[in-house]
Amino acid sequence: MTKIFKKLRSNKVILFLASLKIAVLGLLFLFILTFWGTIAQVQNGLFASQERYFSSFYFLAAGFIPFPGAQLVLWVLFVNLMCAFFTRIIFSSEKLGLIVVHLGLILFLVTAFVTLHVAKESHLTLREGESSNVSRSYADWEVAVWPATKAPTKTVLALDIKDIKVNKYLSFHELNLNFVVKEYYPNAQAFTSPRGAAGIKEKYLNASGINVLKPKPLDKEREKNVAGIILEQKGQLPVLLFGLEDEPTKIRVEDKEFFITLRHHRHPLPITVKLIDFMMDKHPGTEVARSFRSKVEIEHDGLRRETVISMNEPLRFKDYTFYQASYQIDAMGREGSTLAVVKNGGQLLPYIATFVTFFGLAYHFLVAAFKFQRRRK
Amino acid sequence: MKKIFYLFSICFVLCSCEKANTPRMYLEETVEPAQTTPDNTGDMTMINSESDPHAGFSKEQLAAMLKENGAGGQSNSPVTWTVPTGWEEKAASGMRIATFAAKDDRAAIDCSIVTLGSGAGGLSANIIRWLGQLYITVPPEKELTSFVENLEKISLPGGLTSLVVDFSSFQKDVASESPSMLAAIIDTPQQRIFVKMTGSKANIAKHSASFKSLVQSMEFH
Repeated sequence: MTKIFKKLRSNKVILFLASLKIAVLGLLFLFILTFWGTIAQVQNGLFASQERYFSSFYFLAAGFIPFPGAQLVLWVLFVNLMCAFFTRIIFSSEKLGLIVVHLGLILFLVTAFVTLHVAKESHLTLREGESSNVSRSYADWEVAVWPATKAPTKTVLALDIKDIKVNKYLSFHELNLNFVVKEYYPNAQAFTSPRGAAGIKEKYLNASGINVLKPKPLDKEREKNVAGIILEQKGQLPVLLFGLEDEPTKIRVEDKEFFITLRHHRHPLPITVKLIDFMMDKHPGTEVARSFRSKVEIEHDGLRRETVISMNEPLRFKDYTFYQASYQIDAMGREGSTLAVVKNGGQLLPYIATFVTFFGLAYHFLVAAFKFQRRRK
Repeated sequence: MKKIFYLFSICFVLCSCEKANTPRMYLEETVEPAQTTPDNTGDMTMINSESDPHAGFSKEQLAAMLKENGAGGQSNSPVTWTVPTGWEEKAASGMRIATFAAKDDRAAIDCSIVTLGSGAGGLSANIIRWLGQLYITVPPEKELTSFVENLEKISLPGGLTSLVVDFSSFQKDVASESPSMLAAIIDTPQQRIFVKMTGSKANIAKHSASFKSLVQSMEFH
């Protein structure tokens, strides 16, 4: 073991990677990115800012200057910390505090990695008085089917279309509904052209009168892509679905009627959230929002309670965290609120990392204090 | 070494297996907010507000929203259109991204395009407000619901639909000089677009076809 450490400590590359300058530069970049990304949320929204500043390896500032994204900076800091851990740390009881602190910091970086790859983000947009138990994905799509009903509660069957392929089956066995994917575009344009016009040969089932789907190049910002799909079913007209449609298309199978739609992937929530009131404070004399918060009622297992979600005080429920993300005001002055919903199985990790770092620091300072007292005597 | 090779092979085979795309089943419960009706509108002065066709916002709020939506003329607007024959386009101003008038009689009609945030006001709420602006008594809820359900729909490029609100059915017995309005509402994911033509009942009827051709020509980018 000591041989390995000795080898590592004499390796020039490892010594360079363990440099304190890299750590300081990394922390400086993190500071800039945190500030920049937070300010950008006002203009671009939470999701787009996260993608650009925090989840990316790099992005182009002002359209042409490459700037490191937080993911790259955190990887550099992780490598730097690991190298420093093996080259600088002296393993003794006196230095145990510092070792624990470093382990705590490494745990923070592991937390960031787990959050990036395990956490699922979606949003819940509600107008005042509206309630829902499902949140919407920002960029993923699903084909959803439910029995034709206008009741507020419906049992939905949904298939993700992320990895769907043309000529493959899309089957809802429970409803005896089987489709073959005839056309699929991850980003599409839809048109309504008079039948008989050039290229319009087929008739489709579609609630909005769309009869042409054309592919569009994929946008780098995933949430800007709008999917389109054409599904064939035996003995029936093909169904054309486009992601921007408001109304679902009605289809009939045997004697039963169903609604089918292509929409952003829905994530069922363990609670029903109702927006009671949206409150906003403005900077004096301006229309600029200083802070905003949502008074919501949450229902779980028949029990209801009210709570307030504000910009820095999210609502936590099991693995879910609801953050205040943005707001809307309609022409009648009625307010609506968007809550960013994060499901993160590793949400305890930051607390564990904090405790580990705290105990490391506490141990280190106590040892230093005892040492100092002994010297005085 | 052999063990590692086998382990990697098993992992590789498992990773290559195509996941079966089985449907997820979930219970979805979404309760819409209660519709605004004449009985619970609250601030009734808003209904008869003539100064601001989109009452409910302060002018600063509207200005900010319009700026966000790219208002200020066709050149930098996310919406483009074709000016109907016999009409002319005037300079965009304030809340409007476009204003139109008839060439032969500039005072005959006033047509405007205004964009607001997505879902700006419920349909019934807007109709109730416009009825108020035209001094038409708001009909009972059943009649209003039937009016809303039977609105004319115009299909637009990109799978969008415009709802045309024609108040002439409420104005059968009024004089031809009485103020009237023809409005179209188009919902896109980012914004709600209002196209409104105001003028006398006779002039609205005269320019109705041009108004619909303007709506039909609108494209969203």
